[in-house]
Amino acid sequence: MEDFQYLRPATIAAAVLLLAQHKGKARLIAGGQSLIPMLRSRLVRPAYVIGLEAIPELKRIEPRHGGLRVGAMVTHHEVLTSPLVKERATILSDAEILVGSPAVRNLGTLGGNLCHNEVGADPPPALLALGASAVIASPHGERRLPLETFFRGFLETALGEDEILAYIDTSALPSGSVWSYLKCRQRSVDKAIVGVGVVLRIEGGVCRDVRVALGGVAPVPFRAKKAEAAFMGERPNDRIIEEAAMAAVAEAEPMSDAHASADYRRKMIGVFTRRALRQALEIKS
Amino acid sequence: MKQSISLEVNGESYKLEVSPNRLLLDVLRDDLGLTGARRGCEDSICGACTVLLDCQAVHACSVLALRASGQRILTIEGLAQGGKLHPLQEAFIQYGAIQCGYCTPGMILAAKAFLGENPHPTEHEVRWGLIGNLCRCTGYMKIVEAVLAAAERI
Repeated sequence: MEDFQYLRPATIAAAVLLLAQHKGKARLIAGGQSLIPMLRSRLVRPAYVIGLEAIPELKRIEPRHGGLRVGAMVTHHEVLTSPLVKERATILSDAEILVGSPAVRNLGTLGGNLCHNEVGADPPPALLALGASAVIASPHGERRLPLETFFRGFLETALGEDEILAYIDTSALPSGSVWSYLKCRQRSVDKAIVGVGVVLRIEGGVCRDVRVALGGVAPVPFRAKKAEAAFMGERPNDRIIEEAAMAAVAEAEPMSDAHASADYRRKMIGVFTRRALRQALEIKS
Repeated sequence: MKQSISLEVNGESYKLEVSPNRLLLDVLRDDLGLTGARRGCEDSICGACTVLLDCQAVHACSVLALRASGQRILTIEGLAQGGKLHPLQEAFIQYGAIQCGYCTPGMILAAKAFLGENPHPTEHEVRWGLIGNLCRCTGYMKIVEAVLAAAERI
């Protein structure tokens, strides 16, 4: 690992000023579970590493308009064990328990996970299915971005060089909503080959809301909007579920990598989308 | 530029000057001579370097030493008290849960943290709790048995 200077701002304002001051030469560190391997392999060589651990407001989980505000520095373990998350964003808890191993979850943070945008991360599809948004701080103030537009490319996000992901906001789900997050992987500690998050609501036997999100299959996690369209306004049955799953397969452009081929991913998108929809609807297979 | 840090390791306080790029694992092994935390994959996968940081299991290969400043660290060297082995260590010996021994310190410390949160686990929960620790010898059966037996004795 190359040498660097370690900076530890105590406020968000101080942190973004440091970023602006050292533009292009600094990296933020949250829990370090993604950045430290990147530093070790010299994939990144920052002159300055800015630690966010001394900023209290980034470490809180708070209720907000019936939904939640989760600080970017909240660890996976804290998300997982939070009764508030369990109550208001259960699908996020369901996804968090599948992140890495206990040791990774004890240090790794939700914000760090989102900002690295590693392929196959579990929280993104769950949060996309929840319709979450990112609150981003910079020296010029705050902006809010739907999470759908936050992920931009392989290991890339919409964050500018002087910006910090401060909070992740989720809104209240309408009553009667159901959900499921499922993950296809080889070993328990692996990232998802396919991760599927589904949140939907059936009213009067008809699907009124549906979000289907996929991770692990492409450089960027995304909403499978054709799958959603196949489901929306329909009465769920085996045929509709199958159509939605096949729509997800058709709209994904999966990649091949060391973990799985594009063909395998395509197959598993179908299998896991179908299972996630069935599980959310409590259809026993 | 080096920074001053203070670590409490196995109940003893240390004041150290470290470069910001030093990892906790390297400081434990190379500066303090505590080689129980093993250098394995160095990529947060194998768990051989697991130590407890304020009672939580972490991979020492993925923690900057300066981030551990002010925290209590437990390595395998600090687990036995007054010359008496910890019930997990005894159970690992009794059940033959050790073969080559490389994963053992991390496995025992991960199990200790796990039992701290879940004192009466099922076999499935033990396996789930130890997913971050690889063993290439035992096939895990004896490790799981040892952790279940130790849970009864703690």
